[in-house]
Amino acid sequence: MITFEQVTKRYGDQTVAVDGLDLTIASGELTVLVGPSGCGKTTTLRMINRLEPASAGRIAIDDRAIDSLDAMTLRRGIGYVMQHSGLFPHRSVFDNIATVPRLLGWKKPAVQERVHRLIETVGLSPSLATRYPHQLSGGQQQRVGVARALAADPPILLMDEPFAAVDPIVRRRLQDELLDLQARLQKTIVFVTHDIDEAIRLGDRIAIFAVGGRLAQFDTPRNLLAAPADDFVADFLGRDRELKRLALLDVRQAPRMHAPPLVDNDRAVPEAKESTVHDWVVVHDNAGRLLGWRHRGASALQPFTDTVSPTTALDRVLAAALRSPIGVVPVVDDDGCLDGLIGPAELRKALA
Amino acid sequence: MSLVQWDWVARHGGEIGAQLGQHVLLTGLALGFGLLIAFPLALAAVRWPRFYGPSLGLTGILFTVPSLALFILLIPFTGLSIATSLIGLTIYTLLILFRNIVEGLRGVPADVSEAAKALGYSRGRRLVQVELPIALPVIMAGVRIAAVTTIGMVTVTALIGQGGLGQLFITGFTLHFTTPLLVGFVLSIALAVSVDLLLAGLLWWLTPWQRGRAT
Amino acid sequence: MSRYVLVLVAMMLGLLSLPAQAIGLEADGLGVAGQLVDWFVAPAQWHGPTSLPTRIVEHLYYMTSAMAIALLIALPVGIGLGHWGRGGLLAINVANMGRAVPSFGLVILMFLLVGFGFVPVLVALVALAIPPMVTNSYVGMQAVDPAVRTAAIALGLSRWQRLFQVELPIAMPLVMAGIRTSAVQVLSTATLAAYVGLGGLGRYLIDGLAQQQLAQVVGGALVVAVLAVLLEALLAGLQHLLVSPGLRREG
Repeated sequence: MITFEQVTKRYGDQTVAVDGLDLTIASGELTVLVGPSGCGKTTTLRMINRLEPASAGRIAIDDRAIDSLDAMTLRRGIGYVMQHSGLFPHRSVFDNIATVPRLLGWKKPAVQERVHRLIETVGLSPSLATRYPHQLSGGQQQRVGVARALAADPPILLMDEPFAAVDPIVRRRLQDELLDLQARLQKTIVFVTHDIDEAIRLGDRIAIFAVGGRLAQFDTPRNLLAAPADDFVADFLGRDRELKRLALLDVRQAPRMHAPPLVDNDRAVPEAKESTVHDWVVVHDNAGRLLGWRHRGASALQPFTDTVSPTTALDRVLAAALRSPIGVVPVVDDDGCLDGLIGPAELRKALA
Repeated sequence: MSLVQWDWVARHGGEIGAQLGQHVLLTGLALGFGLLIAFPLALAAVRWPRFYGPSLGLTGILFTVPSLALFILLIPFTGLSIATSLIGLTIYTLLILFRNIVEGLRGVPADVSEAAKALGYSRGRRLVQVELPIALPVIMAGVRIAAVTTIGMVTVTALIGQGGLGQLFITGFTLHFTTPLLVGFVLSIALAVSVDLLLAGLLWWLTPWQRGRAT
Repeated sequence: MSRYVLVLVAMMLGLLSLPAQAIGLEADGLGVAGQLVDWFVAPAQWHGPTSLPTRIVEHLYYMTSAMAIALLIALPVGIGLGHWGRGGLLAINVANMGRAVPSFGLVILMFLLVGFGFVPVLVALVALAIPPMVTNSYVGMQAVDPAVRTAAIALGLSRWQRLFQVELPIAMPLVMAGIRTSAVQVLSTATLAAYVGLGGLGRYLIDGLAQQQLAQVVGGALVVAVLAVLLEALLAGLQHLLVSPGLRREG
């Protein structure tokens, strides 16, 4: 757990980078600090491993003030990944990753074993161990940077816009890998970005900073999107924040269409008894499996181009509903059985 | 005894002036010839990059040859004449200038050259109107180093009968008399510093777009 | 390395093809090439206080002592200034001024001020050697990527560890470039020691010029030139050993 109590950072000319910050970062979570440039998010991050000294207030890791530790000891116990990997150009990939274990005086076989495991953990080919940084792609360099930060198995990992300099496709992959890594390692990760989408994608919790170093809101992505604390936060989340919220929910969290016009194909139903609200019906067999849809009264059965499962994210459901000729999407569960219909109205209820 | 006897300086004003003149002349000629030869070589090296590595290696090695040794190795061909000094000095300027002209031209951003090509510049006009101006700071840095180095080196040629202000060193040494030595020494440094400043000023005047930038 | 050999061979061939009626200094009909061979094989050339080996040892002694002192002064100054990022303008300007000082004049000046002996020459050579090493090591240290410096701090390296394990190795190509420039200049200028009465290979040049003996002059110059090229090759090799392959960006 990392706690900030009334932490302020002032630069010489009275510029306030961080202003009276109170923040508790939970262990084992990925906390994202996000905000426009000049909001103090990077300064906040750099105060944790004392790359920047705080001007006032107290920062503690597990209730131990960071000032009570020797700066170098503190830093060796905290991983740090930065935008431009900051890899040592004169050292091979292996030696870069081995930096901190060697500083800590590990025995040679232990270093070797650890480095080789990490190269695999971050998804690099073992053959890259002897390469030098300038022989790697940007994405590979970032992976080495992450491996170097994780080398001594620090409980805390600080990441300063680590994926900002790679292209969008690689960034997406690195983000997925980070989530994957975090699911296995359960580190306390503090992640700085200016990209709100990245923050929502990665963060267990998000701290939104406003210019002047003020913490505007600190909550889970869902709660943030559902209830922005003020106009600044709402604006920063963007006009499409309902779409972002949908992306965080799945079909299990949405209601199904009330009284859907369903028809069992094996039982003839007189046309008069079909729904009069809709001019279409969805057809299934007597085992509950989806067959398709047809116009009311018509007999030609048409297949659905899209169906969704209980774990599909709701933004995909919306896209499918917009594509569907009848405006709704059938939910099909793992056994292949029809589990109701979802349309825009149900999505709205899910957000309510 | 004071280090400088001003009455000696006053009595030998003409001689000092003449040596200074020869010093400037030798420097100017060496620089001029150096530029004249270095330019086509550099253009060729830029045009045919395979030629660049070897020629840079060669010039680098020639540059390590001590200047006095180089001057002397020329004596069998050209004797104790001004040509010996001039050829030796020119070779040194050539080495510095060649490297800087090539580096300057190679340093022109590829997208700028591409843009000039796309705008329809011919090869020649592109060189003169786009690439050379952009390369000028690096080229001028080479000219400055070459000029200052040459001014120092001219004094060494006094040992083979030329030397400009270097003759004053020899006079000072043979007479065991610090005045001419110091006069030559100070004038030589002053000449180097003022030529350096002059060239820096010239660059400033020629490249208005560079002003206010850190160099 | 092969190109060094090439140049040496070319220089030899050029000299051997010298015209017999070399201009300027008297040639006695044998031609410069023949005279040179005579000069090199003369027994006096290989034994005694004026022999070639003695002169070479003297010359190298001048150079190495001057370089040793200059290294002890210049590297800490340049590396320190670069590491702390201060005084850079001063370092560069001092080095530029240094280039403007005529080494020939400096040698004679020190001789006139201090008198005969090794000390005045040593002072001049040291003064000559310092500026390139200060500038280059300063620039090399300054050019270390700030992200790399930050990374080193964040990984928990101490100040000395950062200096010796990260910054200095990265600055090494430029530090070595400065050492090479200085060493070659000092070797070259050490020939002028003979002018103020000391030994070294310069003796052949100065005496030969005074006695109008072309073979001696050219022979001496040839040895100095070969020595300079060998020194440069040696230092290039040393640089190759000292600089991490990660810093070589060959095409």
